[in-house]
Amino acid sequence: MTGKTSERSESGVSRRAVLSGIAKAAALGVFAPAVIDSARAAAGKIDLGGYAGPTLTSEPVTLRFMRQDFTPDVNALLEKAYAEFKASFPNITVVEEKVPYGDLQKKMLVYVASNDAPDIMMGRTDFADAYHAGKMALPLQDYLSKAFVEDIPANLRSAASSGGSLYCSPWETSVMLLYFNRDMWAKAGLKTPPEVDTLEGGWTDEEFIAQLEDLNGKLKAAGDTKSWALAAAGQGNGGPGANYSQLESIWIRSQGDPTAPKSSSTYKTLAGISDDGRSVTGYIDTPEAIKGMRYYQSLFSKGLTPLGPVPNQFPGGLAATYFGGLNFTNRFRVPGMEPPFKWGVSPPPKGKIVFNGNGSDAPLVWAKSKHPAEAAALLAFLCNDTNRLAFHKAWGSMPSRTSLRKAMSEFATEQPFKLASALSDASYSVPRTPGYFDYFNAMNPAVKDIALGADPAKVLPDTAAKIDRLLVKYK
Amino acid sequence: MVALANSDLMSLRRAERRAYVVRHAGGIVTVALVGFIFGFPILWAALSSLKSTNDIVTGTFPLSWSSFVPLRPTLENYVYLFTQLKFQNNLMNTAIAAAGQVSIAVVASSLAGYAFARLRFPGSDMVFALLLLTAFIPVEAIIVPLYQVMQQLGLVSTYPALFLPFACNPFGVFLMRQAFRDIPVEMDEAARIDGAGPFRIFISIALPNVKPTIATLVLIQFIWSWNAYLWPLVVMQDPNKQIAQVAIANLKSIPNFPMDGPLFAAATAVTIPLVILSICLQRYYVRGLVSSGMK
Repeated sequence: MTGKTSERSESGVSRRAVLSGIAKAAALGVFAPAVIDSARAAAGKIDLGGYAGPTLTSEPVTLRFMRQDFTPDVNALLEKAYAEFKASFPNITVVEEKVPYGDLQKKMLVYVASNDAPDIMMGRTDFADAYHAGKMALPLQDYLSKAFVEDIPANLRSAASSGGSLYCSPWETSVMLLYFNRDMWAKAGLKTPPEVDTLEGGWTDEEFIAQLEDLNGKLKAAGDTKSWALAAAGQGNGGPGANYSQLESIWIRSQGDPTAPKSSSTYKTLAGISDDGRSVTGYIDTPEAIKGMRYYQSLFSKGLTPLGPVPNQFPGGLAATYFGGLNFTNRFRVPGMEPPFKWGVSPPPKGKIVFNGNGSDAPLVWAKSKHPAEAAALLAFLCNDTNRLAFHKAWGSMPSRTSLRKAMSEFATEQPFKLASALSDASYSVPRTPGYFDYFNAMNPAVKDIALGADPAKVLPDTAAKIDRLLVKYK
Repeated sequence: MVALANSDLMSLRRAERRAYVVRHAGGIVTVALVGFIFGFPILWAALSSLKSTNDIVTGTFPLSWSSFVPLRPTLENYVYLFTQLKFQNNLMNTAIAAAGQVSIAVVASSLAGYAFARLRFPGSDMVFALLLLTAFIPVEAIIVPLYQVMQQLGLVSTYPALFLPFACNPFGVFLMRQAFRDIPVEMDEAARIDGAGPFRIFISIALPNVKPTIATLVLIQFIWSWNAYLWPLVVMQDPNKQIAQVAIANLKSIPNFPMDGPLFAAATAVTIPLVILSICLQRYYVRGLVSSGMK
């Protein structure tokens, strides 16, 4: 009885259920030390950022950190940071493991199930509820200062939290901008998408599709049969159904409205799941969701975007528009990496709202780490201002803390960055459930089916029923 | 006179060859076509590895002849791969893992196959059937317990962990058992009359008679090990000991920063040993499969 109880989290979800849910999707926390004010002073040597946990041990410690690979310059930054940490804490050795991005969650599962996980693992805010329910991650607010935690914007902090605890530390922020090829629009003699820096003034869904149709017709009439109005998705495996969390959910959830009554289908469309995280019928198959998916489907049925994955269409100059993150803005500004055309950014099309999902990479400290304080201190060090600013400058992603955005002047002065900031401020987490692995993996093929011509009015209710069945095991 | 006879003979052979080609034209064209279909992606990857990443990104779509041919051939991807990314270390790690797996699987499969084919012991058929059953369990299903065993043995992140779990290979045992069964029993009996024990018979009589099957096993085990991904991904934590396949996946997984050039270069580099080995051992491979009754 006791054993059984201990297997269940406070939310009543069994650990086994969570792990088995992750496992299925892949075939694709617990110390509470006394908080001591600012161990930064105790360390006395390096800036441990927001670390506010106990004084670090002087015993020899090896910390394992599992993350994805970055470009060599970003990898070098991290290696330099480990060396600095080691210089200040000679007893602490950092051993790094780089795992292909798509295999991170799978490997995390094997490690946790084998009771031999790295001290720090790169997770995602999307799975904060799963980390909580599966007791996989340490509540980080016990080790981080209040000021540091509150520096993370409230919506992103909420996305990384579950049951009131912060289970992972957002590493960056996800924004989805509408990039456009200025030359191609000019060639067609059409006005480019509005280059606004707030959520107001962009195109609506109807306008977006009408403009793409117009562009497509003009390009074809001019004999350009190679170019597309909208590039194939570059997220995930590419093509339709590539990544519901980051991309295709825009078409459904933008039809929702946070100000609508909670019982209304408009509100439920935005929420994407019931409050208890166990039912999606009536949330992803509402008339609004079906309408959003019809817009999405029309992109394919009208020949505006390819039916399958086509890599690098937009940077290759073969598409007029593309949904991409802030990385592209930064990449396109690097000398030698500029695209062969002039470009600009606009907000994603607006339904009832402009929707942006804020799911992002977020490292967590394993709940059973033998060195929780040291692991949290290393994580805090990697997230200090200097290290994060250097990372964002090299990698190009958007910072996950307000103070960092203020420290980067481009967020106050340049349109793409101001727009990204506005999108991030109004962004939403993925639908909250410990079974998001199942949710996500059921939605991607459904979206693909719709792109290929299946009726959204049939596919969405069927998918909702399927997800409901999958979520049963989390009860 | 002799010269005339030789020239007649050569003309005759040429005529025979021509007749053979005409008779089998359909088959030859089909085989060439199938060979092209299988070989083309490898060739395309190799040609793309000679283009800069930028040329790959901008020139692959829409497809035209320039999508396949490097207009500005460069070795920069290989230079980057072997100087910046030290891919040769990953190749060496893969070679170590493959050599370990081939060696241990050949030894274990030969011994076990011989025992099941020649030695009489109680329950041998039952043990053999159980062994074959394990061939139907995918590695994904046992990856957690397998990892825990390696952990208990203190082998996680070591080279032996990459190949030890595959020492007992049901396919290899079956293949060798079939090959040993084809050797006439009389040869064993004659050796026994001459005073040879079971081990001597195994080494001196049985093994030399199953060389093609051993070559088949070597090739198959090498291909399996060379292409292994999931298990090395899980059990190897030390980046300095990581194998080439996982390193290639890392190149592909860097979002928004295409590394297509180094990726194709790595894919080409990792394919070359397989192609060479397949060409060298293809005769034995086919003969081994035929003699074992698997073809």
